[in-house]
Amino acid sequence: MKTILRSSALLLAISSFFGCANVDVTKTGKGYYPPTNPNEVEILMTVPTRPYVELASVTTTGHNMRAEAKMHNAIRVKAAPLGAHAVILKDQGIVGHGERWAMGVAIRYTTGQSAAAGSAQGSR
Amino acid sequence: MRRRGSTLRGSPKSTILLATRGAKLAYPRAFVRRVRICAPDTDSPLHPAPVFDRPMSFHTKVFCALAAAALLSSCAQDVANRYYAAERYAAKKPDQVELLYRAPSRPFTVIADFQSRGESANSMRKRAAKIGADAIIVTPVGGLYRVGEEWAGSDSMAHTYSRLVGSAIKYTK
Repeated sequence: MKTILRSSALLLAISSFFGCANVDVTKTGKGYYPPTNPNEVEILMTVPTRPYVELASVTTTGHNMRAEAKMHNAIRVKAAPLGAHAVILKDQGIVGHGERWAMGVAIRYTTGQSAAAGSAQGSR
Repeated sequence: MRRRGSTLRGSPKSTILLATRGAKLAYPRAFVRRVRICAPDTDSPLHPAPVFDRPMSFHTKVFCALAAAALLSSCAQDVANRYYAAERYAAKKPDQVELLYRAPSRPFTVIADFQSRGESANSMRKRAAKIGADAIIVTPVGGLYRVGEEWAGSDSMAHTYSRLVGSAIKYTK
C-alpha cells in the first residue's frame, strides 16, 4: 500500500513538474509591433485608463488550480511576441477536475516611450 | 447459415449480415470483406486460424493512404487574412519575398495580416507573394507552457505554437 501511495505521489509530482498548460493566442489587432519583454507585460483585471489598442485574444487552459501566478506568467510569455504591454483578464475559473483557465485581451499602449517605438516600426 | 471456412460474398453493398451459428450481426462492408469464418474443429487454441488472412483490399489501401496523407500533411485551419492597402500589387515569385522573423531595419508598411493553424512559414510566404509583398514577418504565437517554469522571461516550450501570424509588408524606402 505504501509503495502504491509513494508511486502515486511521485507520478503526481512528475506530471505537475513536467506537465504543460496550453495557451492559445488569436490576433485581433492590425499591423506589426515588435515583441516586448514578458517580464514587463502587465496582468490587469480592470481596463486601464491609458489609451491602448487591442492586439489579440488570449485563452489558457490546463493550469493547476493553485498556480494562478504561474498562469499569469504563461499569459505574459505568450502575449509578448505580439508586442503586448498588458493583458486584461476578462474571465477565469476552475473546471470540475481542478484545472484553472483564463481568457483575456492582449493590449498595447498607444502613448508612452515604448508605444512610440513600436508605432515607428510597424505602421498600418 | 454459411458453410464453415467460406468467405462472405454476394452480400448487399452497404451492410453484410455475418451469420454464424444462428447469430446475425450487422457490420459495415469495409470491415467484413476480409473476415473469414473459422471452422471450430480446425481452430486449435495453439494455432488459431487468422481472422484477417487476406491482403488488404483496394478500398482499405486507399483509405489507409488517405489517412496517412492527412496525418502527415499539414492542413491549414482557421485561415484568416486581412488586406489593408488601398491598391493592389503585382504578384511575385515566393523566392522574391523575404521571410523574416523580426522587423527589418528599413521602414515599411504592413499591407496584410495572415494567421492560421497548422500552416508553415513558407506557405505564408507564398501567400505574401501572391499579393506582391516585399517581405513577410512571421510570428509564432501561443503553444504549450511547461508548468514547471518559474520565471516570466523563460519558456522552454517556446518552440511550440498554436498558430502562425504573418504580417505582409512593403518597404517604404
